[in-house]
Amino acid sequence: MSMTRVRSAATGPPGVPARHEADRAGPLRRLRADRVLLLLAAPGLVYFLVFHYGALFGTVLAFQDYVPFLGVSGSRWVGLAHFERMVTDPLFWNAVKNTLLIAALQLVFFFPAPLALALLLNSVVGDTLRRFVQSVVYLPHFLSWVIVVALFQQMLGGAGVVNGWLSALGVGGVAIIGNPDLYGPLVVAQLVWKECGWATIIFLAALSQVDEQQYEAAALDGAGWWRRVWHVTLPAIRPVIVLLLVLRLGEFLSIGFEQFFLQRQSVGPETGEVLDTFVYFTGFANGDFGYAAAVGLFKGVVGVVLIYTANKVAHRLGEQGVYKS
Amino acid sequence: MDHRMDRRSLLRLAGVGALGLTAPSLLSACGSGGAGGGVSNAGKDLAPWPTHVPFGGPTPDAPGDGTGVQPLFLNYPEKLVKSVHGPVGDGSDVTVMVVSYGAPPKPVEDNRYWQAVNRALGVNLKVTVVPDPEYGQKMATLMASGDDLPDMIMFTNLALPHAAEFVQARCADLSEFVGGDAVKEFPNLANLPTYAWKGMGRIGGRIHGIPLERPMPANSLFVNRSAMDAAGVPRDWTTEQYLDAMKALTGDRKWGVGWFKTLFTGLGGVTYHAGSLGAPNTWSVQGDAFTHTITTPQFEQALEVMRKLVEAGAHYPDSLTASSTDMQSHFHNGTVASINDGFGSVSLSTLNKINGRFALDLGRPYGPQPTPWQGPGVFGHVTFKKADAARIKLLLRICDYFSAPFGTEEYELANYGVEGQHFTKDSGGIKPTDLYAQENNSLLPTKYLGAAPAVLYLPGHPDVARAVHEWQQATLPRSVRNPATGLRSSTEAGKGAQLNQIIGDGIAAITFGRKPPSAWRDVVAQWRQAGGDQVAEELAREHAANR
Repeated sequence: MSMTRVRSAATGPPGVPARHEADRAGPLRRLRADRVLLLLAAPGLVYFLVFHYGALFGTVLAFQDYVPFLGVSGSRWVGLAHFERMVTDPLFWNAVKNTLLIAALQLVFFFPAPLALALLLNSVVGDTLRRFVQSVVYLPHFLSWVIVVALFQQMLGGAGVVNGWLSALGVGGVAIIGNPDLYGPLVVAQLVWKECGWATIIFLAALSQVDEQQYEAAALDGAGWWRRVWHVTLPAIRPVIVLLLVLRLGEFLSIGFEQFFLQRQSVGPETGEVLDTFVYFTGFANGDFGYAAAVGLFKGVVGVVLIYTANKVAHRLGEQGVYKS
Repeated sequence: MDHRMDRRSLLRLAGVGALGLTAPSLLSACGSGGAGGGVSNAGKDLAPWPTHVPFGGPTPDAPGDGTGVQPLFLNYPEKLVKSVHGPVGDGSDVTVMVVSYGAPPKPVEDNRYWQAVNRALGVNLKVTVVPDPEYGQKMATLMASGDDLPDMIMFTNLALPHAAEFVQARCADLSEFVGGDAVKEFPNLANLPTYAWKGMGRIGGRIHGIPLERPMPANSLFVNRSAMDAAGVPRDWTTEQYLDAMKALTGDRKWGVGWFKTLFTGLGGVTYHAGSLGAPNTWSVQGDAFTHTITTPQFEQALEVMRKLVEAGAHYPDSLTASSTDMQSHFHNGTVASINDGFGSVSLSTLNKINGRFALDLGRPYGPQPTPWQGPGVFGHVTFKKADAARIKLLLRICDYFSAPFGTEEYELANYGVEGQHFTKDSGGIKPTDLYAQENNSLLPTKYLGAAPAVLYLPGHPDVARAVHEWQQATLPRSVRNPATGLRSSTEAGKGAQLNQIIGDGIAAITFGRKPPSAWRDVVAQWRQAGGDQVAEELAREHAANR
């Protein structure tokens, strides 16, 4: 199946004779004809082989009492002991709870944000202004989490700018950072600030594909801005939205590591421990690599189940989803 | 050995398990249950501690004593002694892996300090510095790799999982070279006090490293004495006076107490308070039974003091997110009036950063019956890759050189560099030059390859040195040792980081009011269940065996 895909992608628009010739020729000739595309794909392929498929072998750690300097061949096999421990480990379930909570907040508040921003940007008239706004909202994406967290700290922290103003005005300070009740909203706000602009790229590309004539027709019929969005724009880019949503669900439990690693201590593990930091502390800080690998494996399995289910639902709703079954 | 290790790492990469080819003797040494009962000293043949042969040396302005008070030097000795006779190295390369708290060193071609050290040692030192924040990960990677090890590997006191098993399996046994009278071949190592060797401890009854000696005081309270004097705070204080002082020093964007993030990964934040209120130093031992300090009422009182500080808003508000270096800067510039820091920060570099803004002093314990906590007496230790006797002796001579005591030519070179380039001498003693700021034994961390028994000498700051000496005399006679220092517990080795994290998270939760003080019982229960009780049992066995 993948073969036909590659070929159909490479054949391009009909009416190019060279391509037809290549199509009829043997596989070797075809490889040569597509060599540029294949070369372009090679680094990505190597990346996946080494860092994803290669790393998959590390999964055996989940069934071992793994001691780093003894290696896989020297460590003891323990069967499903790590998984039994996982079921009864309150710290693990606490991390699951926090992860689900933050993931749900991200899905509700972060996922639609770039779409809204893209619609806004799309309606901005004037190319120069639009490009300028686009550049500004892209910028935070290139800052590392350390900097973003520090910026929020400087602004909202107890000794930060906002509290400095408040105390200068004689108003009591507000505890935002280090307040467990506000931790979820805080981390989602950080995510929106950092990544929202960057995430608009795909939506903007999709929006540029919407047929201008439909807008004209709708406008002629007296549809206002909101009606045009609802009846023309959103239906036109629905496949892209569903695709991104399915992909997001597949990574539902991967809410990020660095951001949470940096801030876990400000609210303590009861609120701040998520699955990725739990794996890190179990594996690297405590040297319990086997158990950490088991938790990682659990996360991976949940991801596969979610992406499969979400894709099935997408098919039911008549969408293409991530892949065709 | 290394050959086998290489093959194993290859197999591991390929993901092929269950291969019976690999070294059985090595595996059985530390394979049992992954926890490695082999590292404990209970029931082992114990190598004798190195004989202590003190160095004569220059006469101090005020003497040290057996409680850990350091000899005080107000001036630099005029005549230096030579403590290393004969060549150290043979011109060969010596690879070294060592922690660093600063920027990477300048390369050897441009680094006159490094060149001078190489010349003095007669070796070509190849140094890999590990930045402190990455230390845990880098060491875990080193221990996991089957690769060729560096000749010298330096360990800090940070509890690294499986570190003792790693050292036992892969690093040289030094017992025959330094145990008992054998150490006399290396006079500067023989000058290291026995508490430093004990602080490092044996592994499986054997001596596997050279300790990096540190003075007795543990993490201490550094105070801004000028601010305290201005607020009328007495030098000796009660709990109430301490709390009032911290409140009085707070206001106008300044705070009394500066804590930082990593203090709450273990007992760091509570050390001063627990010691003030008479809680035992980490463990207490009665007969052979070990009780942890977190289970004592005094410890809960210490937590209560910390909770009250937060309640009163006397702490820097972002104490749980600030880094240690940030908080040190806040202390140096006067934003916070006190900070918990290691005693090692009583140093010229701290005084240079304070730059005369205020008088530095240390805080005395405030409780009625204080038990100030002693440190382990070591900063860490140096281990060697396995090699033949001649090579091990060469590496030992390098440690011996860097361990040369105050008042020797070797000490001067190792600590201050080359006269005329890195420092000059005047009536005040050593005066570092601008070059010293770029080339010194912190940036090229030779101070972690061997350390002289520390003396109290702060060139250009005799007042601070005197104040610290008085503080030592007031504090150290009442100070207590951690009875678990140097004892091995395989559970502690495997789960120590996790157990410390439980304690640190618990302290933070109660201090910052996320949990009521009554929740401390749950923290203790969680700690017991996670392995705390097991550690206590293992320490008891170990204690009985070492008696």
